[in-house]
Amino acid sequence: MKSLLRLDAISTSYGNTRVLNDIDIDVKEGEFFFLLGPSGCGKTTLLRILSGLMHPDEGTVWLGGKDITRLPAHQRDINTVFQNYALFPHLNVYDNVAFGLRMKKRSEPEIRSKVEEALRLVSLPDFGKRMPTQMSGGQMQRVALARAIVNEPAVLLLDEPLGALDVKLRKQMQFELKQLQRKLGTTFICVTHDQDEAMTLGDRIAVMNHGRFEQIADAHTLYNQPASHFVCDFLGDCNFLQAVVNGRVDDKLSLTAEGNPISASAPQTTPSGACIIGVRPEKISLDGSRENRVEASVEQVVFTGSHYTVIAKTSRGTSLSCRMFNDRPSALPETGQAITLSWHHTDTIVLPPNLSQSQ
Amino acid sequence: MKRYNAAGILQTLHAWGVYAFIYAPILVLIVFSFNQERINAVWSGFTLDWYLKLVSDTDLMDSVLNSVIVGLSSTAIATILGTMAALAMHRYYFWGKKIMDAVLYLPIVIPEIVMAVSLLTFYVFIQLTLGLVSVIIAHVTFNIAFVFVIVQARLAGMDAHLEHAAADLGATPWQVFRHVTLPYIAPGVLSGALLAFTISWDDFMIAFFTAGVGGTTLPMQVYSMIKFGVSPEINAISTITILFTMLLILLAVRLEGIFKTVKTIGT
Repeated sequence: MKSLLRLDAISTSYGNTRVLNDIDIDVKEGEFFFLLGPSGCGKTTLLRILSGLMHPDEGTVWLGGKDITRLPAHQRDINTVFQNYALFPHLNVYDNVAFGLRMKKRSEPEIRSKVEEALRLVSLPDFGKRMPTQMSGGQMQRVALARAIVNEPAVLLLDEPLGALDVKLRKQMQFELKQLQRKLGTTFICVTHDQDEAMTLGDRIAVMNHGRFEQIADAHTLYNQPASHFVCDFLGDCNFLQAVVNGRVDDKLSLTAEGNPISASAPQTTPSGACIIGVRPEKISLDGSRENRVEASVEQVVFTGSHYTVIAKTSRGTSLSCRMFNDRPSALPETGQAITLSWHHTDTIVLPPNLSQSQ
Repeated sequence: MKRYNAAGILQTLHAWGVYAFIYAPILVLIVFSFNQERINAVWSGFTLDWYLKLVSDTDLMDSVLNSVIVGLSSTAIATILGTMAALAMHRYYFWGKKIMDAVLYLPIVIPEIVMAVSLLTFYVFIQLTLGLVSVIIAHVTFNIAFVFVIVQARLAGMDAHLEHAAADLGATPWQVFRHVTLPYIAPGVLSGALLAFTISWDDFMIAFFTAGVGGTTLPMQVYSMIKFGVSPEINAISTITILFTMLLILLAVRLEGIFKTVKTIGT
């Protein structure tokens, strides 16, 4: 795929606080790209820089080979779906959607056919005469989408698009959003703090923390091969253990964690000294059948519908959780029972030591 | 059938009492404007003579015309300046903003007499000839404050994302103002203008101090007339003024109805 939007060494500060630190991205044409991070990580600032509502202190924004860093918002071929929708309260749905085309002085017949097409795409074909105040959150969300896509922008920005919807509706809108993106083939860049949404919809996800990217990859890579403790912790649940690297044996890395020998798939460059290992709860088996073994005693068994979560404590007091499908409830251990947690070497995630946070 | 109890009756009486307290004097004034007798004490028969007499009173008619000129021009100028001030305060951050904001409220809270004397002193100082223009300028000064306060309140309730959304959709700064900001603040601007006009129409003190030859407004004319007693002519002009004001209020309510759909949405 062709590169469409490129950020080159973007940095920006509010007063003395550096909110964006040397940001580089390369978003490809037709990609559904996510900016994922906790609140205050700088993702909304980055979105404002892309939309042109704000200009960065340093760096360049390229769109289709053109430098648009200083181009004001109204001259950019980029449209935004705002978090609170920001529908114009004095205009009905039709006029809201027609707004962008009217500003560009298109002819009324052209506007009519495009607006109707856009409203059809978001499944609100007969809502033209409604006022925004007479609509539900989900409907306003669709109008906001229609108002942006009717302009056929090169890039569509979405700021926490589903944040204000309830869980059921959010799932449905996720699906529709993906459908819409496929149908239009437009590049979507979406800001969210919801890792579930990013993993479900995103072709690629940029995980942000403290104004910089921790990792940019697809959902599989981020989840299975996270580059940092932060990424590993932010996407899904994970157990962490302090470990020391012993060395490399063939294609395996040998480590020691809490006195237990642990093996992992060897990364391309062999780390040395202290590190952190992570194991996802669903990768741990309770029958002791896998090669990496840790003895522990059961603290608590939590039932969450489709899963049981078993929380166990090692002899050194580290809590580890493992997750089991709710298909063999008879195999559940009891509180206080001694068990052996085990996992495959391929499921050991080796992470650089976390300097900012004591684990 | 409706059922009555003591509390209900007391409540009703109380309500009527309040209304009587406010409106009885005005009602008396209206009634006596149709009285044949010159003295406002005895009812001696219905007449429209006093209204006809008004029209032939050139001094009074001149003062009405002056009041209209002062009211319209000061309202127009103050509405534009006050709205611009509110927009600037809403949009920009600059050094001394808080002080400027507070100073804009001053004309509302400082005593009218202080305002009047200071304006007069200032006019004398800059050697401005007192007349109708000096009254208009004086009215603009306090009307700006009223328009500013109302428009500012309206802007405070506006979602900042609306203007961003418009710019994002390709609207130039002027188009953003014309198609989004102005429609949103329009009810505030209109009620500000109506309030400004009413206050200007009503003002005696400041006009009294700042008017010169040919600058007599209606309240000043009425004041000079009652030196020779309250004539039914004054009752008549007051009645017309009341009707005119009520018309303005009805207009304001109608306008508010038209803009009723303008509400903030989202959170």
